[in-house]
Amino acid sequence: MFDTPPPRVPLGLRRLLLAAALCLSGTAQSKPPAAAVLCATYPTAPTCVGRQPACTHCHASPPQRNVFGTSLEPYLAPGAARPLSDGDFAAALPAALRAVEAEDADGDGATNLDELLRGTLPADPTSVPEAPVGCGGAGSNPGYDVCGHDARFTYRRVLLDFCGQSPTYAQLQEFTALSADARLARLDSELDRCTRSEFWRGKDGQLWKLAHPKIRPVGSVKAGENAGPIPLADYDDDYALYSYAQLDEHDAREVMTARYYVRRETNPTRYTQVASLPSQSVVESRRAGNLTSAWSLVTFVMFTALPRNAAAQSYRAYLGLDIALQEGLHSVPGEPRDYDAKGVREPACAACHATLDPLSYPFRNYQGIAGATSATYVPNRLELFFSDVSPTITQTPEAGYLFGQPVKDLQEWARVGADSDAFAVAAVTDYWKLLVGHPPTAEENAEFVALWQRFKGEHRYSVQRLLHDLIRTEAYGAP
Amino acid sequence: MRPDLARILLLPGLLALAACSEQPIARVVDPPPVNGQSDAGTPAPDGGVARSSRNNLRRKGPERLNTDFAAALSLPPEQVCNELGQYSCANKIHTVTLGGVEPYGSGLYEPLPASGVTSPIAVDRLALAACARRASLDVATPTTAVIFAGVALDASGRLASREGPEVRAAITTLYQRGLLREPTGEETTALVQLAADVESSGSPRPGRDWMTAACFVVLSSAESVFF
Repeated sequence: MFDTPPPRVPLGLRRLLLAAALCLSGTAQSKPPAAAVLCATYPTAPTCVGRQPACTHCHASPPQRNVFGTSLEPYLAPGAARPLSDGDFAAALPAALRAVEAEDADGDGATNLDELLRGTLPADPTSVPEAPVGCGGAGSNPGYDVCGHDARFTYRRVLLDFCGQSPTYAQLQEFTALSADARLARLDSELDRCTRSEFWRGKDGQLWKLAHPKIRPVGSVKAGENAGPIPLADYDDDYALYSYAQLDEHDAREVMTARYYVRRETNPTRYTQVASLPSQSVVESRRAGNLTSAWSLVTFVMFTALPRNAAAQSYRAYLGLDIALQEGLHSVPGEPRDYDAKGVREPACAACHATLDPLSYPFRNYQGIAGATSATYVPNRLELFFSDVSPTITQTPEAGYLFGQPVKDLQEWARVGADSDAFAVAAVTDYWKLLVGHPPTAEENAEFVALWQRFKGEHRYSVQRLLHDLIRTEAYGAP
Repeated sequence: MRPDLARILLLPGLLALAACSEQPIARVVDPPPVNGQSDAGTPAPDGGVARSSRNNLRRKGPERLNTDFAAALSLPPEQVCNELGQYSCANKIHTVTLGGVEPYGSGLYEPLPASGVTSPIAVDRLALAACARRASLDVATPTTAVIFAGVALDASGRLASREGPEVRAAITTLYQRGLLREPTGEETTALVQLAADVESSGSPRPGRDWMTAACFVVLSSAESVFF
């Protein structure tokens, strides 16, 4: 479909990457280590840069293969006895991937190779790489620099995105008359001004909109201000912590790791760090930002012994990995143990639960809805409240795994998660989607990767610095 | 935004507002052939002007539309459009249709991925309500008129002078406040002609209706609704 050459990675480097992938998969205990091998084979694929390919590249629902996965099968160590060991599978997969590069498994007109290199799914006919538009076509444009970052266009976008209002005609005329350097300085000062606006930081402002899918509010069970008919917990505290972590040079990771709470005051909106809130009950040493807020525990743990939903929602909301979409699967050997006797060792379940269950163990002592102990940390919670769930439920450890890495409790879970590439990718993706208008495309991937890497590095997890950087990207400022 | 680019953006805007399901919300496309034949009467969308390299228009959504309309017409935001005179079009009634969310009651945490068939109707509703209010205010209290200052009406309610400088000044003000640019000569001529069309339609108050319609043309344009 496109004349995109495969990335030329030297053979020695490819072997090194493959070996590294296999070694890393030993840490992560992926079974099979397909995602790591795919990325060793196509290291520049958008799905591999700071991320791990979803299983949906090759599977309908593991272990069932989709059309692309099925097309690989004849080339996977043909003649060798099945099932293949992890090592044999990993050794055979690169050649199989190469063998089907020119094919079009889903019949959407794009070759498998094009799809992998441009970040679309080779087994999904609705997921198709788009033709790059490019610039330099016929004619010129007297109003816009359509081939690069256009400060005047960016100025209008900045005011709309952060202040919620277009500039006036006079303001635009004044901006247009500025020198190039002065325009950039004005963009920065306007960004700083507008991120203090109610449109950006106030209740139901842009930051709150980013938080909605993470907090998943339900008005009918809200407590506190504007309480619903069955007040269970106040999610305004979650919005406050989320917003605080995004503002004023604060560390965005603290949405996962904070041991403090945040109070919101209005007219104008201000967020202030506080040691405690009457609406929150988890002891300080057991707090992990919004993962352990009263709202998260009440709505995501609820009445369950093993809070898989709380773990999966935390993984999805703050690390951008949706296990229901087969993302972020890092199978742990011997898992799932099925401590609560839910039958998750069935092969169709184990593919996800080998990741999900050890992800959930660190939540074992966090109470959901349970009278006076609701939304608190209860040592021996399973022993005290859930001993009748199954004969082995009390054997559920508090230590678990995140990204295949052992973590001793939820505080370490949150720290490992907040320091991960996945967190930075997810956080920057949120702002990219909000401000650019869509997830990063293949053409935008280089700018996107550089941006989230700087977010971890020179921005020191400050969203304010990230935003100053983002508005200078071509993805944002090129008309 | 210059008029040439405005024309380029017009087609994708209309497509997106007509419930185009693909993402992003709007994109530059060539006019589709009709019955396998190119429409000889439809000019090429670029008209010799270099196209956008990004193809990435975004909808303003309910809050920004409401605020921009309010600013353009110098109306309090809460007076831009209210259904039954009391329920905010942008913040309550048509929020989701215009690309907003309703997280607390409906569990709609993110905007719908595509505009709906009623999205253009809701945009029109917002623009028409705001424009009707501005026109009424400018006619009722001409000394404090914001857009149609000095535009006199005759005894039949028609524009006293369709070709007069006051009408042209009002059109310029509309474009400057609504689209942040000057109108082209073609656009000015079209709106002047609109006054004649309104008068010939049998409207009982053609002057005020022209003010509303001229304002509506500007505020409901793709150039105004997308950014």
